[in-house]
Amino acid sequence: MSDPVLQACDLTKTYGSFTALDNLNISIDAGEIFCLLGANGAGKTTTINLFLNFISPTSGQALVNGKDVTRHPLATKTELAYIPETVNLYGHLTGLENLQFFTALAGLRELSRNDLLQLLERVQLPQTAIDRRMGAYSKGMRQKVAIAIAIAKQPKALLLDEPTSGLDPSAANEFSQLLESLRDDGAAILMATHDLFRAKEVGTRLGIMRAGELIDTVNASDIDHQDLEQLYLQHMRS
Amino acid sequence: MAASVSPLSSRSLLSLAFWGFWKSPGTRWLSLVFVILLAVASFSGYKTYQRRLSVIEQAATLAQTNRTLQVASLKGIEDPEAALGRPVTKQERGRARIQRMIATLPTSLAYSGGNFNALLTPSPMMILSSGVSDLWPDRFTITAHSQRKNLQREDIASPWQLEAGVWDVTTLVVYLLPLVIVAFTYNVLADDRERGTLALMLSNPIRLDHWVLANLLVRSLSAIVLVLPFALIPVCLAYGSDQFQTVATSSLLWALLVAVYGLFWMTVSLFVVSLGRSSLNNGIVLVVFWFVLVAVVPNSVAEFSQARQPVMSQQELITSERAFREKAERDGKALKERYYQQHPEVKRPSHEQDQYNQTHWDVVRLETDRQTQPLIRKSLAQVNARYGIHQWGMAGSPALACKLAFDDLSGTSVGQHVEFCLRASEFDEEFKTFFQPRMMSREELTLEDYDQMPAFQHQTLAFERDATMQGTALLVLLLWTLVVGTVGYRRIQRRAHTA
Repeated sequence: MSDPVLQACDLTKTYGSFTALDNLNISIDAGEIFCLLGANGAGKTTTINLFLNFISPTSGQALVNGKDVTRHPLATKTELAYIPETVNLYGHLTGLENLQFFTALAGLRELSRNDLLQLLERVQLPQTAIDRRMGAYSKGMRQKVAIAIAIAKQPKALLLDEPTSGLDPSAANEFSQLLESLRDDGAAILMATHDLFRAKEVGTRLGIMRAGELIDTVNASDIDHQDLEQLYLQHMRS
Repeated sequence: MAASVSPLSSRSLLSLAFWGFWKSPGTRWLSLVFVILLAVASFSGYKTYQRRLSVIEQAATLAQTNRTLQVASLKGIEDPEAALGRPVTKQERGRARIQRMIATLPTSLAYSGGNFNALLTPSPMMILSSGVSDLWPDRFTITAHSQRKNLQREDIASPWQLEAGVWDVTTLVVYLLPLVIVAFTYNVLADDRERGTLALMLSNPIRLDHWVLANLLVRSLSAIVLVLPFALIPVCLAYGSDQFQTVATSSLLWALLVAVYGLFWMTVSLFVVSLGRSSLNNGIVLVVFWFVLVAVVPNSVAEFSQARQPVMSQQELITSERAFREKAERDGKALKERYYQQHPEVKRPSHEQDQYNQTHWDVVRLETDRQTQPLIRKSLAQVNARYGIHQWGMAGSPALACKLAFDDLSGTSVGQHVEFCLRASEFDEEFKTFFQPRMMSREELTLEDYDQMPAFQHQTLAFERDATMQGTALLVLLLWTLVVGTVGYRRIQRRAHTA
């Protein structure tokens, strides 16, 4: 069995007396989508920020391909891609220019215009939008450009923070399909979401968090939508 | 697509930062406006330089022509065309007649203008920095009149400049370049945080501190690069002349100072950006820094130097001179007697030779001058002392350091103009030492006298200086850059990866 791509070992983050994340232990393998479910403040975004090394853990480790993100921040980021809850890109640049900028930032300077156009085609960004300024894009279109950036990086791990919030059902559906294609490419995906339906649809495993703790983990294939909702509500009430 | 994600090299980071900056709204417009302002200032500097050079050259040519005509007259050559070796106009013929008449008369020659001048030839570098050249004279007509009249020109100050302030490339560099750098850099980091692009950006293998530094460097250099080509204007003008090497060196030093000054403002931006505030806050703090360093500190130094070292006003000099003159006129007879007693080598003229008692008025002027001269020197020394205080003030203000170094490079600083006035004063004294005995004896001038007549060498003080001022300015700028840059970089380094 291969080593997990994403791994949290006793990962803890406290702010003074407040514990944002308490002893989190998870392992996500290549080709697996792990969905973190929970209410606001449960610790989902904190977990993602710790993997991105945006914040330092109080104790424990966040590992990407076996490497500690705090010790090897640049090396681990070469293997990561990230899509935030609200994708904000440069409004004065076109979709293509934004893609060009962010892929160049990832060191992918040799991507040709054709390569970039193919990426935008793969995420189904309308042709007419490619050379339009980003300021005129809808949230779904911005999300697609962010996914194109992630795909271009061919990441071993993908971190998603509430990626479908605010998307219409059709856009959310398209997003799920893209996510599945990334999973099929062998990426390990960690997705924080409130959307139980979407999590059950695309997820391999589902983790329920409350007050910084991972209180339950289930395989998505072992549970149906209704039971998942019941389980979630039960944990939230207890 | 076989490309793989990897950390960017410094060069790629800089080139990407430049790409992003150049695509930013407003960048090109602001650059264009700045370049237009610089071009206008350069054109204005060029016109001023040409005008001054032309006046100086005309004065020098006129003195040379007069001298040739006077010497020719003593040699018995009456025809001005033969004397000058070229055809002459009707007007020149009239002037030649006057020169023939006064050629042998020491008093007439000494009192007539246009024959002896102290001239300050402008350097092409003054196109970049007009300094105080509009407020201080660049030419004096040396005559037998009092030194104060010769050296105190009340008609020099340009009313336009007094009204509007100096408008030259240096002023734009000292005052406006920092503002352009502020406009280019105030939103580095803060803008990405406010847009929400910072997190996506930092999910890539780049360090926040490197990204910030690359952006600040690229944006500041973009502003600096807009200025540097203007340093080539004086070089082009001096091309092929004897001054070329000196002007080229001066331009190089000027460009170096501009670059370091710009980098200093980059470090100020780095410091402010490192405080981690919003774009608006950064902008306000940077403008406050600009106001303090560019306006408040240099003006405080000026106020301090004025309080510490008052300079005698022209009014005081005029009043003193009048008092000396009144006393000399009262004592005229005694003074004349004393002169001949103290100068037995000077032959007293006969009544026919001095039928209008001109020697009386000559001795009065001599005495007035003798008493006024120390006051003039004192006044110039006071200006120099005040300038010295300004030079100390360089340490407290990079803007002042730059301004003084730029003016000095262009030969238009207060120090250089005071130096020119002192040299003119020395020449005035030399002139009078030569003419007074001949005027008091009223003997006719000979060719030998013409050989011994003093001459003021054409001076371009910009070519005589050493690089002390520029060295000091560079040191001051580098020290400020180092201190502010280190503090800013340490602060931003602590947040190498955090969004």
